[in-house]
Amino acid sequence: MKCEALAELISAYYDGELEQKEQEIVNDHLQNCIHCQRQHLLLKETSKVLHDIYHIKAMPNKAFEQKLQAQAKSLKTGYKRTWTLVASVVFALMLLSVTSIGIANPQFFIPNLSSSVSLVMAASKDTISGSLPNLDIWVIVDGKSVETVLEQGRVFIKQSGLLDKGENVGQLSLQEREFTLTTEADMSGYVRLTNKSGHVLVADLEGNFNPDIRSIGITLSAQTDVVFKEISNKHLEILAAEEGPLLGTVNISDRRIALTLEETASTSVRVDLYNDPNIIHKGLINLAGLFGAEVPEYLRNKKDFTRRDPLQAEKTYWGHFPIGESSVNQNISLTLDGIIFTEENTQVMYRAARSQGDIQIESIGFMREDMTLHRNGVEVARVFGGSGTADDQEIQWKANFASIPDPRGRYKLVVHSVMTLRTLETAKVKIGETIRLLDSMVTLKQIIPDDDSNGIVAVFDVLNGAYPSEIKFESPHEIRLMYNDQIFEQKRVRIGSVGGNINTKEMKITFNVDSSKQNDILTASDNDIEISFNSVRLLESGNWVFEFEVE
Amino acid sequence: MVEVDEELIAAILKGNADEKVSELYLRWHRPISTYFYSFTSNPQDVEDLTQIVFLKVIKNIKSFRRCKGKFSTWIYTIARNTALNFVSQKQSQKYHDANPILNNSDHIPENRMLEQEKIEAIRSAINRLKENQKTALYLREYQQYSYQEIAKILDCSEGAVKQLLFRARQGLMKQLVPYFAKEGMD
Repeated sequence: MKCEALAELISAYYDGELEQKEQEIVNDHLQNCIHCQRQHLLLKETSKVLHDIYHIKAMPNKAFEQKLQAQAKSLKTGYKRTWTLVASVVFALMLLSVTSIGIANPQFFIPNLSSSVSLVMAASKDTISGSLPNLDIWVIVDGKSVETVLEQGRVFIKQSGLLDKGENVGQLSLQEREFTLTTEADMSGYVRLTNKSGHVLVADLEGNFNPDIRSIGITLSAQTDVVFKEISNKHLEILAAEEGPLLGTVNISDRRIALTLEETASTSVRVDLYNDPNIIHKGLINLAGLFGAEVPEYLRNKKDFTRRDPLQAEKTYWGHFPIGESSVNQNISLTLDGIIFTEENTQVMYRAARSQGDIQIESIGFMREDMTLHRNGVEVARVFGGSGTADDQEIQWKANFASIPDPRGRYKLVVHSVMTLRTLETAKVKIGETIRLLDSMVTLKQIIPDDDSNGIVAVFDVLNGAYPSEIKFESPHEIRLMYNDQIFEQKRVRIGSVGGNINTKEMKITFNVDSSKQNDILTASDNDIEISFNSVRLLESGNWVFEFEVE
Repeated sequence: MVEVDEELIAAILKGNADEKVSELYLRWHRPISTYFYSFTSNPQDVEDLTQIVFLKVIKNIKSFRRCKGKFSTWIYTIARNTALNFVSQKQSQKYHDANPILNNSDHIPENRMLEQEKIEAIRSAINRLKENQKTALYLREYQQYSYQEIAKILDCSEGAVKQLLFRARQGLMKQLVPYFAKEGMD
């Protein structure tokens, strides 16, 4: 290796930061190269001089020390760890998630909460208990997954990315459906309990609520329209569509909430229960998890990747994200100089919708702390929860830093849980034919006029009773209607234009066909019509990082 | 050290403030002061900046969470941002430090006097380093932090730390070449 190429290695070699192999290379080279030996010596000499320079007699200031003590005394309350228990349940029963519809958080008041059990822990060695279905465990501490080890019915919380490896921060005991969580250390965070396997078609979920929590938001999505029908403020019915079949019910009694799903084989329901985001500082309860399907790979192996987009520097910042399908408008907490504080007037809003990109924001509205903004390497903004839908072809976020005296600096916005999609397969089908579409067998049954538009609708039977799971359609050109070698390209598959009916087990695709051609297609013979799919599905997820500078 | 810091913070938050606050201050005063001497030679500025850091630490001590990382990473992040603000303010005031950094003779160690020229040459070279080079150099040379720890504080990759240190040292080493020759090391 040439000396120039080795120069950088010698610096790291001096610091003992080289891999074994590189170390050997440098060692060998130094044996025989006078020039590099000299560089190495020079490095040592520089270090020696630096040590002397850094050897500074800086005396602590007694008066300031007393001022610090006074300031510490003025801290209003003692240290209160806030372990918020989050039990997450996501119902993912063989879903076709082409259409993912978030219902804007209906919230309602729960009166007369009793206080016999608290899920917020105030000191170490505290114990919380409750009842949950037979779940596997994930522990999340401040948004970081913590490794857990299940031994003899007890879950040992081992570590997170930022905790010392192997450190035991607590343990969670399970006995049938009862759990007890005991922390071993002073720390803050929350715990999410999630099942990883099993096909639970009828699920009961119960949890306890902190007395501080006065309201609950519920978000639910499925591939068909889902609505809530509020029978009373203690009873919600989840319907497959307006006046459609009953998917499940939510009942609230005192501090207990029970969610029951009816047996539905081909629907996807995601439920997230949480308290009013406006009182998030008082404690948050989420009940969520996965029923009926494996936890998707993307939730287990999150990978970070970076994308850099330049943004204009101004006091109100807007970033445009090419794709996604969620929205939020929540208060955020801000940090500056590494210090987190709450800024109630600051809002972050983002909207997302399907577009022609290959990235989709998933679950952004269902997860806590799913978006963070960094300034000069320090987190300055964070979004908590929220959900919704938007029709725009972009995701936008907005952060108003008017209250920050000097907003200049380098910022980093992190959107968590971004999924990358990849092309999976191409499939063609004619009327009467059956094809495999990912995990499902579908038959093109008929093509009929679309009552709501000038277009037509292709109706498919889903034969195995389950819509394809985790399928997404790349847009545009991903689904084509072909007639006599003429291609009617589906310019854009909007949310809702590919969907299914859980009762009839049908999947419908709407095509925007020119009215002059509509009749030709509707009267054509079965053999002349063909539909091709270029379907894509989830490949991986990670954090989406935007960096920009405000001058 | 980490555990001690954690325990001190826990104690402060539980109300045992005076003694523990002093202990925390005394433990970290010198490292933080020394760090700021990389940015200014003015002892009053150094003291002011150091005090700002400690005030921020105490004011926001509830925000520090153990699972967020080590206390050392947190306090150096605060210190670094304080330094960045300081440098930014000085630049905007068209401030030019008449003296090179670390040039107060009080700060020269008494037990091992090096040639003043050599020290001045290095000081002058440090003065010309970029902020992140100064920070990386200080954390490595004075605090003996690993590349991984430095990367966390600077919010960059370990590879970037390697580069920063290499570039910083290259700049400093050039200043020492003449002295090497004089000392017969060439």
